[in-house]
Amino acid sequence: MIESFKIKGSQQGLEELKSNLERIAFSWKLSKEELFELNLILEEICTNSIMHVKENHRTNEIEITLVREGSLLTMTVTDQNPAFDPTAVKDPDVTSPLHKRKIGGLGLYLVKQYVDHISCTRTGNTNTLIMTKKLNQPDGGKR
Amino acid sequence: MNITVRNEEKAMVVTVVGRLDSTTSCELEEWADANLAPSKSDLVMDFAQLDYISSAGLRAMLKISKIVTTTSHVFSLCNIPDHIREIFEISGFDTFIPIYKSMADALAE
Repeated sequence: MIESFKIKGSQQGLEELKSNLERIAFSWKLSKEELFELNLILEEICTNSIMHVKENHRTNEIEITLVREGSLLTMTVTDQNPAFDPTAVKDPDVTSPLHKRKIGGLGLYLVKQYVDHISCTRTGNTNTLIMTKKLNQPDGGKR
Repeated sequence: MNITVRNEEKAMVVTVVGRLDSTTSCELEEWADANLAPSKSDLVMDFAQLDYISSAGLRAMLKISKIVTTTSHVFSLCNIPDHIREIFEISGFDTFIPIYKSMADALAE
C-alpha cells in the first residue's frame, strides 16, 4: 500500500498533514494510537522543515510518501530547503530539572523514540528523510 | 482546542479539549500569559478530553510550569490518556509536573 501527498511548507501545511493522515489511517485501518504516533512523527519533521524555509521560499512544498508492507511502515519526507540533517541534532537532556529546561531539540528527540530507523540524504537541492516504523498489527489494529 | 476554567477551593482547574499541536499550542501559551501570570493558586489541568500533543504542546506545558512555580504554587495534570502520558515520560516532563490519575487525587494533594 502506498500513499503520497504534498503539503504547503507553512503552518497551513500542518493542517493539511493532519487531514491527510486521518484519511490514510481510516483507509489503512490504523488504530487511534498508531495515527497519534504517525501524526506526531510527521508534525515534528515538517515543523522543522518549515522552520528551515527561507523567507523567499515560503511557497515551498513538502512531499510525504507512506509505504506499508505488512507491519512495516516507511515514511519518506522530501523538501527543497537548505541542507538540514535532523539526525545530526544533539539530543536534549531529558533529565534536567525545570529551571534548566529548554524546549529546543525535543521534537526530533520524540521522533527518534517513535521510529525504528531514520536516515537523511542530500541530493542536489533536495533533502530526503527516510524513517521506518513497525506497526503493531500487520493488517491494521483496533479502532 | 478549547480551554475551560473553574476555580475550586484549592486550585484553579483548567480543562483542555482537543489538540495541543503546533497550530493550537500558541493559543494556550497566550492564554497563560494573559490569565496566569502571576499565578495566585495551584493549577490542575484536566487532559481527559485531550486527543493529541506534540513538542509544541510540551513547550506550552514548560511555560505554564515556570509561571505557576515562580510563585511557589504547584502545576499538576490529571486524567491523561496513556498515549499522551507516554510523551510526558519520554521527555522527562513527568519529573517536574506531578501527574495524578483523577481530579479527586490531584485536588487531595
